[in-house]
Amino acid sequence: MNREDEVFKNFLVEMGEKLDELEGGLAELEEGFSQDVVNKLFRAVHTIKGGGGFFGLVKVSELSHIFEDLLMKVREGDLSYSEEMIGPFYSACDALKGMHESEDLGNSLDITQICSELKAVEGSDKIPESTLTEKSDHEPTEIVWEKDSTEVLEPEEPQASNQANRKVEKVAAVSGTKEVKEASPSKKSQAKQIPTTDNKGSQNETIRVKVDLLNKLMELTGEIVLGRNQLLRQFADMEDKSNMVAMAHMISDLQQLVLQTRMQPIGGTFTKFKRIVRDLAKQLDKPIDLVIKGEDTELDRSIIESLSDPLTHLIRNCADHGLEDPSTRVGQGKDRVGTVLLEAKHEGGQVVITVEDDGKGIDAEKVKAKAIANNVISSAEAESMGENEAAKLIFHPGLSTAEEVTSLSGRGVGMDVVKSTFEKLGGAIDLETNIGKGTKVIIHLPTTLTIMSSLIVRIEGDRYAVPHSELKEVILVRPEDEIQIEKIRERDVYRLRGTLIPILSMEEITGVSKREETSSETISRNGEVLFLVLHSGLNQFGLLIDSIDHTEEIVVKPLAQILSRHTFYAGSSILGDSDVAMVLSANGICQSHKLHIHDLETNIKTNKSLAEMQILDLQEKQDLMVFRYSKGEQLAIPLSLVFKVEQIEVSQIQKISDNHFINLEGKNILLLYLDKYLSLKPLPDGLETFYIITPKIKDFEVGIVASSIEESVHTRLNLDNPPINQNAILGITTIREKITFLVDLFSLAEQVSPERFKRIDLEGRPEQDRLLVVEDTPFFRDLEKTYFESVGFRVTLANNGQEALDLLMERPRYFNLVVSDIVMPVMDGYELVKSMKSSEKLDHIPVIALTSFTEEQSREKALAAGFDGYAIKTNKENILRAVEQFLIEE
Amino acid sequence: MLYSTFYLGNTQMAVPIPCILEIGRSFNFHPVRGAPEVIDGLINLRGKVVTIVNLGLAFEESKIAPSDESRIFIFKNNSELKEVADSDLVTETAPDNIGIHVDRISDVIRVENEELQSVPANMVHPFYKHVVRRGESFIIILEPSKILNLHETPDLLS
Repeated sequence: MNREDEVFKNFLVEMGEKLDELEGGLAELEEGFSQDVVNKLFRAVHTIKGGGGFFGLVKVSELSHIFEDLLMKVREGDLSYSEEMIGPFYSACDALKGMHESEDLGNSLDITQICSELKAVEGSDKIPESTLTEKSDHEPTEIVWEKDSTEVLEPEEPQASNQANRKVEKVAAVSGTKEVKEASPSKKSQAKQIPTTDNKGSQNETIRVKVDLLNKLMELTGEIVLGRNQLLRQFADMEDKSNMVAMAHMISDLQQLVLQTRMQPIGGTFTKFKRIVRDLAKQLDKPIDLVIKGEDTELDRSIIESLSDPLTHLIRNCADHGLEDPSTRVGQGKDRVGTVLLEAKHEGGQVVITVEDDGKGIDAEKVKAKAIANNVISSAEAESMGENEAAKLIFHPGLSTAEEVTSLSGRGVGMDVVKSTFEKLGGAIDLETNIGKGTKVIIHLPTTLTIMSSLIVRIEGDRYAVPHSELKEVILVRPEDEIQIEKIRERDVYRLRGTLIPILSMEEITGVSKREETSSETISRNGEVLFLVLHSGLNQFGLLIDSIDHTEEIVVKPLAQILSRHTFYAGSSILGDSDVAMVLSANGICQSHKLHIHDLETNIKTNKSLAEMQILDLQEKQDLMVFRYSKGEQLAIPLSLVFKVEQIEVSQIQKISDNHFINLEGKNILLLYLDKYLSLKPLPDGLETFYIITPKIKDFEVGIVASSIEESVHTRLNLDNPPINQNAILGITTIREKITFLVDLFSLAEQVSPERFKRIDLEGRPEQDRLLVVEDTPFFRDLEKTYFESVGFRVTLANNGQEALDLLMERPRYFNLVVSDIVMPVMDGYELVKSMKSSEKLDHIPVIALTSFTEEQSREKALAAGFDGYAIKTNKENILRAVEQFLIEE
Repeated sequence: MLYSTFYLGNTQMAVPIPCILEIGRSFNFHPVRGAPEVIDGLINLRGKVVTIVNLGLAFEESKIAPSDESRIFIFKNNSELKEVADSDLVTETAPDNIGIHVDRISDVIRVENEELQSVPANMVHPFYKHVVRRGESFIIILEPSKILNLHETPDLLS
């Protein structure tokens, strides 16, 4: 590439950036006038104009010149700013953008209209005649201006601008004419000011790196990670691996850092929606308030780049279809101004983007009718569809509910493209709608695409990788368990804590049945069934597997085009032992199987087995993970509180004073030896490998050491009180005919780091002490009972809302306080509180919600439903806090 | 240009050497469950995942079975080809690394452009580009682009 081309390319990149700055600046200006913003706008336009002139982009420089002139007048105070200016400013910005994107950079574009629009802002007669003539003979003058602007560029791009500068000087020297002098004075003054206001750039200490280079770096790092995994495996038997382990950790760090270089805050993409919403509001004549949250959320560059278009479409839909006219809104008692919420946040290793409006919601019946008319579904299918399920049909190609086609949306193209765009990125889209209240689109996206921590499993002889981000849990169903996989309408389903999930086999997914010998393998499992629970967005399903191999950081390689139709594969990967494994995609599986949970739920509701299902609910048992510390004792903790289990080698432990640490994925994790806290025998000597269990408790990052992991059981918990008073033991139960201690992780956390988990010794005693605890999970039920009793309540237990209501109706004057979970089978917390508050007999009893929902909306929703208080059951302190206000000081 | 020749059944075929990344023995393929029949599976070629196509079916013969003589022709992907070869060959390959399974490998031949003859009308096949006469027999010059972009030939994938 020749130098000039390179300089030109750099300018185009720069122009793009300046245009973004310009747009951002205009949005700021719209919020309120400030000298800084005008300066910023001016600098951006000035740079564009300079470059445009230098490279002979006639139209770009002509338009930006007028624009600049106008901005300068505003800046110098010659022209007072008024809000009417924003419109033409935006149009100018758009026009420049259009030119930037067009093939010939706008040289063939007719810009007279936009120019006159701009001029009209200050009255065309005010533009000095000389400026206009300059433009027709733009070359010499523009070049001089360029010289100024290159001075501005210098701190950012010394090479390019030096080059430019040299050229400019040369040309200017040749064509040093009268006009040059004429133009100079005013521009000089600008040039002087700019560097002083623009010195921010040099403080940022950033350099520009080619994306290509970053991509290669990323690719190479992927290969290094792969190589590390292979080495670790190859030399697994070596005695002294300390060097290798140290290198492995450094590679993990390197990987993290390289990933970070590609991460960008999503804010840049979000900002431009302010503008879009503003335009929409005008066009549709609806006042709209755009609320943006979580601009700092970081995502991989390549993902961010692809987000802009689909998000624009969603936001347009909110504005166009979602929000009602102001008059309708007022009529319905809503605020005149419609709100569109755009939010990004991190959640469980993924980024969740929400686009929500408070408009009219999606009319499920209308969508259904249209879907039937377009032969998308049959009327029988429509019958059995839930509301949200039907609303999701809008993602189907060829469906749009707008009765009128507007210029913005409503042609029925788009939502399916939006959906497929997110799916291509490895994400999922979901929709919740509430007639009259609004629509919420939830998008789950992976933070990065290249390296993923995955579980390697075996299915009928082959190995597959399942990304952890899509994996929820692993479930083993034994023949003696009460909840089994059942068949409903020819589909295998499993009732997982109150939700029905479909269970798929690899055969169903691929449509290929495996060789016969595998069937004998299945039988040898003694009727036990092992499956993974995967999720894509809000959909969950089970995938039958034979066994679990191990966990590995894999580099996902895209599938060859020949295989790209097989969307149930996300790609392939080379494992540590050099074998190839296919990477499964929960999204793809959901897509190709049209799995929808609501759909299934609806099916169930109409099914006769409903009553049976409810019986199952009432007998819900609990998942426990059973492990051993010393030889004799068997211990257990609830599986729901286990974050991760890993096998480690003794050699990986690092000792710092008295504490032992282990480095896992770049984090130093404190090891917890249970004999220090419970009266257990010490860990057996001579262990070379052991397991560490990382609990899922906030701010409690420790690894609980276990000598072996026994199994995970699904059992009813019959807890006996521990014989000796031990703080961190919840009770004793019998699992597989062995005495098992159930460890109380919350108390353990308190003991380990008392400063963080300070025990609240609520010294008070309850004012009125008859407490009803409504909770469906046995573990929490027992835990809450213990905790509340420890502060003096007399606790009665109920398994669900209906049971609680029966108890309350029986003795309406007996209970003084109700603490209830929200999500429960048969009757949930909302219903319970609604029934209580609408009953004269019961409305005096305060009801506190105690739930594992941590989001703020849940709190609001709970309080709106009638709960008198809201607490989150993440630890003992919080659980007790639920009743704090009902205690009196002694 | 130099061509590498090989046999599919009893037919001798050739592909331009610059398009070839390497030729290897038939490995243990990792089968892809659910994939079309023409795909043997994936292999790990020193950290690269290569998709292996079995052309036996594409030419309406039976699938090629791995044997001591059978080989895999692994083609360069677009970016690899760009680095070494004439740009006009780039259109010949795919963005992915693809390998084709052949019955056995044969000689390298030099073919001048004048020698290339069009495919006789009675044996036209989408994968055939030219034929070349060598003594008594014909060698079919294949069109790698068609083979490597099999996804554009949907009938073969079903």
